[in-house]
Amino acid sequence: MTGDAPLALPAAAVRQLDHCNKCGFCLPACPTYIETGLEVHSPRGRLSLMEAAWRGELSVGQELADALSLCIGCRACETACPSGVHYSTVLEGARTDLVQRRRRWVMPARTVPALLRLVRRRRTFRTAIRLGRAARRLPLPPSLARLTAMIPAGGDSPRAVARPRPTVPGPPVHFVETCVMSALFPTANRDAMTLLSAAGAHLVSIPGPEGCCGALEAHVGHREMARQLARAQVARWERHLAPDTWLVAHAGGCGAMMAEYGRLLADDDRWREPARHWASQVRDFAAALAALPTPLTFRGTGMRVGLQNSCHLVNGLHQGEAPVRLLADMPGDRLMPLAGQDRCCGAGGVYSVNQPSMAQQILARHLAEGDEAAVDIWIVNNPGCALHLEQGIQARGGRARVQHLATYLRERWLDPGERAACAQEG
Amino acid sequence: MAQAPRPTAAPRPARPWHGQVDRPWLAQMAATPDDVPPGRWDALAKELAQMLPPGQVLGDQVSRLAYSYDATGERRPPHLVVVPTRAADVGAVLAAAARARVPVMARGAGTNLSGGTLPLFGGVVLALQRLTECLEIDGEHLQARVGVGWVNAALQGELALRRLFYPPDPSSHRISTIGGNVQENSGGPHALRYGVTESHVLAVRGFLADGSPVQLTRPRVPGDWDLLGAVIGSEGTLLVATEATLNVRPTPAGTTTALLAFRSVAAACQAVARVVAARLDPAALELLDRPSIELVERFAAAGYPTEAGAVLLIDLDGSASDRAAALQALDTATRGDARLTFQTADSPAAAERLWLGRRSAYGALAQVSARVFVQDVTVPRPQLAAMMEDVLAIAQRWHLTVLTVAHAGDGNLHPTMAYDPSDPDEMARLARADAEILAAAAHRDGSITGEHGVGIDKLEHLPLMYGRSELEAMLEVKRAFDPQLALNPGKAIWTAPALGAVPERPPGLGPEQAWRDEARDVLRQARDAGTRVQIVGKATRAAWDGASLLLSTANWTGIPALDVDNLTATVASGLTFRELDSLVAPHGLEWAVDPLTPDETVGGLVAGALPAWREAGPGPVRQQVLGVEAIDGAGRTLRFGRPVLKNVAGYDLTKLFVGSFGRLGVLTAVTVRLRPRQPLVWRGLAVDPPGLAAAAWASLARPERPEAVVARPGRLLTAWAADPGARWGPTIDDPRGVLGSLLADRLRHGGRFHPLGRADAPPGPEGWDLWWPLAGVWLEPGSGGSPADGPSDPVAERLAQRIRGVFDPDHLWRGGLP
Repeated sequence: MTGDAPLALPAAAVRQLDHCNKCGFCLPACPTYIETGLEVHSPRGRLSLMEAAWRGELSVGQELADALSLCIGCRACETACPSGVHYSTVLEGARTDLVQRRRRWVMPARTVPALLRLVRRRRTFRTAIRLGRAARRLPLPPSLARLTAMIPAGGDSPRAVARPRPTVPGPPVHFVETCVMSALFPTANRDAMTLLSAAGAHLVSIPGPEGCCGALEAHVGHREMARQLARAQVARWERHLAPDTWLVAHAGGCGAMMAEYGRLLADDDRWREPARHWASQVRDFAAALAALPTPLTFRGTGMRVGLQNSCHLVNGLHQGEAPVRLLADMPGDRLMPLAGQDRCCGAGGVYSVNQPSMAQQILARHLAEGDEAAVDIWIVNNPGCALHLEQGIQARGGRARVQHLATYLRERWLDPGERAACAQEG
Repeated sequence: MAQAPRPTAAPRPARPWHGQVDRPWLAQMAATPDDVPPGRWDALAKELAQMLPPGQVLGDQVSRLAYSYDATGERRPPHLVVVPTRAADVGAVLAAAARARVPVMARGAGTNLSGGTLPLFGGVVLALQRLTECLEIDGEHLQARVGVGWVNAALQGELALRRLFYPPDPSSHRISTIGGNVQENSGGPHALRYGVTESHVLAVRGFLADGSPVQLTRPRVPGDWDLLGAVIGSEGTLLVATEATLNVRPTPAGTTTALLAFRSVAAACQAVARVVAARLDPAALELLDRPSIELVERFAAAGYPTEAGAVLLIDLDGSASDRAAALQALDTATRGDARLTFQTADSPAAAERLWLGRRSAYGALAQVSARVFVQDVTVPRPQLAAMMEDVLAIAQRWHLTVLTVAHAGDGNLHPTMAYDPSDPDEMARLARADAEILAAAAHRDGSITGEHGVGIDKLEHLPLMYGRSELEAMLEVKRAFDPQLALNPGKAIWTAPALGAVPERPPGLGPEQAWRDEARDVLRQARDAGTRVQIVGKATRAAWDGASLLLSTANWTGIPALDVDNLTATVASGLTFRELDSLVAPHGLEWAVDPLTPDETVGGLVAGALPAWREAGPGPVRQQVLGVEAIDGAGRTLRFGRPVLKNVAGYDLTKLFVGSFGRLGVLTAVTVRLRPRQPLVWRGLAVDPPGLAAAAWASLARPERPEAVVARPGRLLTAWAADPGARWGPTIDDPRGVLGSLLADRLRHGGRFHPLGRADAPPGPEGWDLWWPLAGVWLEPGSGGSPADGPSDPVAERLAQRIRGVFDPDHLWRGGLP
């Protein structure tokens, strides 16, 4: 491994490195530190490693790549950091350099690049999902079996989007369907759109295929590809949407990525300003619903509810409180306080494919907390978490269901007719 | 699409693995494992890997780097890292390292702010965060036995489930470990009312540098040494702890938080003095200066008035009615022109908002600057305002941005300065400002570190507080524990051979020349005549034995230094308790110890510390003594401690002299901690002996906590500052009448007492007097073996003998044990 050049980092990443005081406040927030108790697997440890590799004090090679690849990239450390160090800028910078070296130690799971390509081609992706679902009965090699096991049973035809006439006109909203959600969980997307519309959103659609936001690419170090995808998205919005349109997604990871566009394209003179503008228009589904003019009425069904908040929604988009408030206010159901509610479940985009054993270890802690609280329904707001929790519960023979927030709310929503009936009963 | 060139900062020149600060004195330090032949590391790694479970011995480059730093940001790589999960393995690792003659540094979360957890000379790092197997919480006896890897906040979580809490709450409590807290004697905002870590550690289990297991407890019988007192705050240089037994407390019934804004720092400090004088006993009393407020408001918008020169943040614990009364008193005590606003918060959420500003102060500065240096000094509380002015002037002189937050209640301030490690000029200015701040604190008879430790940052500044004799004594204590200087070398105390350059006389006080001459003269005569020296005060306990040479302190009275606002007095050892009391009583103060008779000398009370009936409230004698000055058997004048509540500069050797019974040296002066005199209500409850112990512990588990608990056959006597009502029996009008015989009995009984007084201990034979000041049950003489007669730890015994040899190498002191 000698002969490898020091780690190359963008200037923005170096500024973040210089800013770390090594206070250690990020340690208790980090899922892999919680599991291992090892400094190497803490954010402070990884920043120190990347700093040393950049200074040329630590050789760039297998040891470094292994240490960095155990990071899920949940960004909980950024929320915990008193100095405001933007950890993900450094991590993605380092991963970008490692990927560009094309060395064998860089990418342990060969399936990952193929997976990314697949997700980007939406029609192929849908076909692959169907095939994968069917192939589950076949004897497959373990690496493939792990993937097919994650595909949700599904198969139901999604409900149509109801578009009740809003009583108070709200802002124009473009619902970003996002690749994985639209391929795997179209129902949740439709439910989200129904509720947004009922709450007063003026839903606007854009002709032509929706691209990928680039989140998965950015997280594994395919930075240039992520930038290309971002430019394409911004260009499309610019062309078709009024500037005051909200961009709403029901996938924490995608929402957080879109909100990062300003930073991602900061050195691109053509796209800097539009990227910044559209990033500021991004809302998560729950935050958007809460901010729309018409309040919706819900009635629960006596369930004990656990929330697995998307870590990028919490730590990237900083809109993690909206789903908590929606669930806590649900009459008839009970939101159970779980220690891991806002902590990453271990899904982390392709992390659960890349680092299956750590991903499972982290998940086990969450599921045990849920079992202890006797949770009936796990609420998720990111497709990766949905897949990860679903397969984890299945593997344990658990009885809890996993539901997207929008579907859960849609099922408990009392539309005006029901509300009137309900009032008469009451 | 054209690819924009990826902007890449030019790589910095590769530096050797070392920190940013030039420390030339390091070259003089002992223990440099550079001399260790490289092959020995491989052999040691192999040996350790065979002993420990797989994956716990790490020698790869990445792991070595990850354990090379702490919160100072400097880096020194260890050669090997061991991450054990079993306490017993720690001993095995130490033994192997000792055989290989390599240094070992134990650490927890590595949040140290003074470089205490940098493996300065490499060697083996023992990372103990995973020692969390042990956790026993005994709510009935208010104790918790915990593995040192437990994170402070995680332990708090476990305790909270049982409505208990552990008071020390350093800012790092969300990640710092109990092991680190014990080794650093951590404080935090709530140390003000409840005391720092030292007040809460009952026992420590661990290993010496050679791997031998050791258990240190608090003194159980008069004559026991408080080695534990010296180990707490020793920064991992004396032993490696694996387990600690902690005192925990019942959660207060409630907390009210108040935020007071003042025109100036001086006005805020005056308010602090009035709060203390009004006996409000706040749980926390924090101060933020104007630069802090401005910055905090920019980043956290906590709602602090930006026109204020300073704000005070005050926590009041207690029942709703107590808090309402305290709040009223606080309002009255601080009212005036200089007070701008007075806000209160009753709900936890509202209190959290008020605390937000205080908690964000560090982060706010860290956001606007490259790096942040947090200083930590303590001064006598009345000098806080002046010290803060010193800090501002120093920062201005060196063109540095400084903001200061302070634990104002105990005079502990944290000037926090922004710096850029890549700017050598700024680094040099920072170092100068740092040194000047430390000198200013020492000049005000404060401490150069209140709670962050000496580490490596303050090592070279120790002579600001200590002369050659004290530094030598600390090194000898170190050698008594760790003869090879293998544990965390280069930290906390001077191990450099450059001691000769330090003046012998300690700065500050000093005994009168005549007393010094007298003591040295007697010691010389004893050495010549092959006899011993007996120290006698007013001979209230033991008279001169007639055979030893007599050294009387009866006339060592001098001029007492009373600092009413600081609640301290420094008095000559020959002053009697009665004299001291008549000095402080007019100010509404008292020294909360129990003399056998008021004619005992202060020196005798400290050297002959006995369990006291006030232990439940103010705590044992050691907590009423902030410092001592003594002449030891080698004729050296030593001064340890300062008139401040927080001081972790070097080893806390004051603790060794408390209860030393004249076996280490003769005390010439003592700095005592005073308290507002509290009128107490005594109540007596009839309880059958089988239920007595449980009743005694139940009274201690009350959040309002009694000042004293004394159990006698058939009767539980409790004393309260706030009357708890008839639940604890009818009031007793003449408690001294009841207690009088008991006080005298302590001496008659030879001071033997049950070490724990646990509720599950057998009630004891008929006729026992139970004495329950948190710590002891008194035994009638001749009642047979007491639990205190059980075998004490042989390693601790051996350590004690070595320590005695440090201060009395020629065995010249007779000692005054009963």
